Amino acid sequence: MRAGEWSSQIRRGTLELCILALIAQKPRYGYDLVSALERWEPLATTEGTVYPLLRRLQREGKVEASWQESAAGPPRKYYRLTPHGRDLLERMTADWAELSEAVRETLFTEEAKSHG
Amino acid sequence: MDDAAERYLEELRRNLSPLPEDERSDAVREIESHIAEGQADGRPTAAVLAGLGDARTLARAYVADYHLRVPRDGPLGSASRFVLSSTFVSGTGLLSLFVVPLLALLIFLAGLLAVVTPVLGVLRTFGVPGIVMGEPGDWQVPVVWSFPASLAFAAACAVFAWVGYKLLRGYLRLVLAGYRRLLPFRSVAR
Repeated sequence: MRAGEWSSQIRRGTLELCILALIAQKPRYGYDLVSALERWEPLATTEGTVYPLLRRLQREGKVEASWQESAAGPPRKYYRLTPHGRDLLERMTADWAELSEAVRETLFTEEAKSHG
Repeated sequence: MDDAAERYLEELRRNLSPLPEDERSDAVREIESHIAEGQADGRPTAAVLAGLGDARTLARAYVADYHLRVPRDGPLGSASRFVLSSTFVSGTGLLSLFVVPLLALLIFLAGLLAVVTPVLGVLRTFGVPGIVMGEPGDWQVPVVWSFPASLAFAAACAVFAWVGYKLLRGYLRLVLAGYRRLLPFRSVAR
């Protein structure tokens, strides 16, 4: 597997977590979400891919959405977490912390180095 | 909305046709909103559209996800979903274009034979003429053995149809899941 493909798989896997986390901060609409992700280079996705993913999260009952008029410009579809989404985010966050800690240890502890 | 944006939305809408109408127009409306936000942000339309990626690819990500996720309601719902998924997957590549319809046809024929053969076996047992079992004009299954022989043949057909169905379903899932994984990340500058 090429390193590029490997890294995009990792980012793909974590995108859902990041999106849930961003929506947990405050209700967000698609463009806002995409712009928020843009701030971190490794998370910048092709913008279009966020929308089918949001649709899936909505269908799975992790987020709920409502259309709201905006002061200027077109109506926006705002997403917020459902209670189920909030539970899920909590568990995913814990899993992520555990996993990244374990990976960090295998990569950087002395014992791992001496075997490597 | 300018011409390029209108065309983009029209193409998206056309390619979202497998979705129920409410989901379809909701998706188009959301993308329309995205484009307008981008324009209000001062970005050129072409850049906003490029950021969204090809309209057909975007539509496929929605449609693939729809096929994977919608719960199957009853045998009829399941069958129609299966046909819809097959049609969608057939359109995804040259291999699928041949494999899916061919396999589906074989499965259908095997299933049909599994049902029809025992009936013919019974008819032949009771001397209905014109039913050939074996090589025409050469070796023939004895008339008394018509029914057991037809059952054995039907069972073989049923097994073939079942295995074929499982295979096809697995293949459809594989392709659909591949599409859902189709979240092309920008390649990060290294």
